[in-house]
Amino acid sequence: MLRHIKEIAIKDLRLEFRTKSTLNFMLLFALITSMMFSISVPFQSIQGTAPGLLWLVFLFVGLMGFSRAFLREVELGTLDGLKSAPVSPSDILLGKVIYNLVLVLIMEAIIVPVFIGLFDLEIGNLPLAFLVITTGNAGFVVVSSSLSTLVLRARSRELLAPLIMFPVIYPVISTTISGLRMAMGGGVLMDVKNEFILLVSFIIIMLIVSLLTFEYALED
Amino acid sequence: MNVLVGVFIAVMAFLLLMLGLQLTLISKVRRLERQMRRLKER
Amino acid sequence: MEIEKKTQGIIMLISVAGFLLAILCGYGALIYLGPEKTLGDSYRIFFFHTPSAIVSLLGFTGTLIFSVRYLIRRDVESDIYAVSTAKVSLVFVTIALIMGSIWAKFAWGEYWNWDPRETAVLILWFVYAGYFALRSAIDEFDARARSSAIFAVFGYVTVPLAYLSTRIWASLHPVIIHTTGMNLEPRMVMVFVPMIFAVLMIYISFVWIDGRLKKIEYQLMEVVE
Repeated sequence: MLRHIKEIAIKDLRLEFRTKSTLNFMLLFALITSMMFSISVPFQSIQGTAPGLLWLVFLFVGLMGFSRAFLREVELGTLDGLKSAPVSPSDILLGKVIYNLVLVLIMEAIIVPVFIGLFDLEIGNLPLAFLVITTGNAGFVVVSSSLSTLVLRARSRELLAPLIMFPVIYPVISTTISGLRMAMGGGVLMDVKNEFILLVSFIIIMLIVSLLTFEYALED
Repeated sequence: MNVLVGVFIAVMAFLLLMLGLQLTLISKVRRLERQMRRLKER
Repeated sequence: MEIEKKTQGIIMLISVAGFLLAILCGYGALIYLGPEKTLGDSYRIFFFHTPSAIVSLLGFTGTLIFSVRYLIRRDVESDIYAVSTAKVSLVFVTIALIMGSIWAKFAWGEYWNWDPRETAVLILWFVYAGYFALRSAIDEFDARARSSAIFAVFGYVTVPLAYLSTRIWASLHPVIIHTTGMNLEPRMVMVFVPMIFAVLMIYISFVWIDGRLKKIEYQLMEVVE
């Protein structure tokens, strides 16, 4: 089982690194969004609004990028092959989740320093900020990986995807922002205890729901 | 007090409207059922 | 057919009883009860706002149950009732939101305060609006029913969140129902509890009638084809 998950994740990563199209798009999009923020938020108030803005960048980027994991299979016509392969649906889902997590970790490593540099931010507790963003993104990845399969047969799925994803991950969005604000203000791990409890329990619940329903989501 | 009576009448009117909506829906169901029966007889 | 006729009679009875009970409770809330100490007359909205919110949350639970039943059984009926419960609940929660914001203007000074519960219920509203958006975007019957059923399972997280929001975060909403009883005067309980049942009865009759309409429309479509 673990071997299948690893194989799917590695297959996707290899495919991605051959062209780097998704990664490049995500990165460019993140930079453009950051530029938009620089002209829409007054420079004096950036320190206060930065947690929300930084997280918004990840939301937009993730929304574009995470659903690619399955959309690409549809576009390349390999989804049916994946379905008929001797791997269980939950392996496929977990493989995609891990693939998306790797993508988002790469994005974080690039975007966060750039964002800090662009706006000259003071981050009180950088490791904690990274931890909070990563946990938030993990929740986002779990939900969006499984929800993106629901819109595969829909018309105008690019429009529909954010519409059905944002409300469901709203708890993640709000708790990550408050945790990020705490971390930027120099808080320690104990200060964001409640946020972590909420995030982790959300991730666990969503992972269970995803694994239970994914078998149905992949059917014809 | 008069305002409250007004509100009460408005609430009653709203409830009657809902009941009316239910009755129209039921009559629509009846109509479709008749149509169904005719179709099946043929 | 015979059983359907019988249920129809029972549902009509429930519907009429619900409306009569609602009128009676409306009278109780607006005229029988006196003004409250701190909130004055505006507190009377409570007897309409809270029952419709409670019933809509119960209704979304119904959507969850029918969605899971659809995934297990794959029957048209479950799909139809999942949609009907979601549709009527969405109407009820919209009514609760509008009445809540009117009350908020009187009690808290503004129509919208971004109170945790207001936010949570708004998110819930978006989830079920998204549910219908998702359904309208898929043409194939099986894919539509399956996708929306799975989404209903995911979206249901917002329902307990809306219910627990006042307990998790500091909220302007008071906690009314405790494990030990209700935080209300006995005279108010006598109006409040029957009102919940009245709204629930109206809800059930609407769901049943809407589901029946959709079922017969589906059957007609099959016969025509």
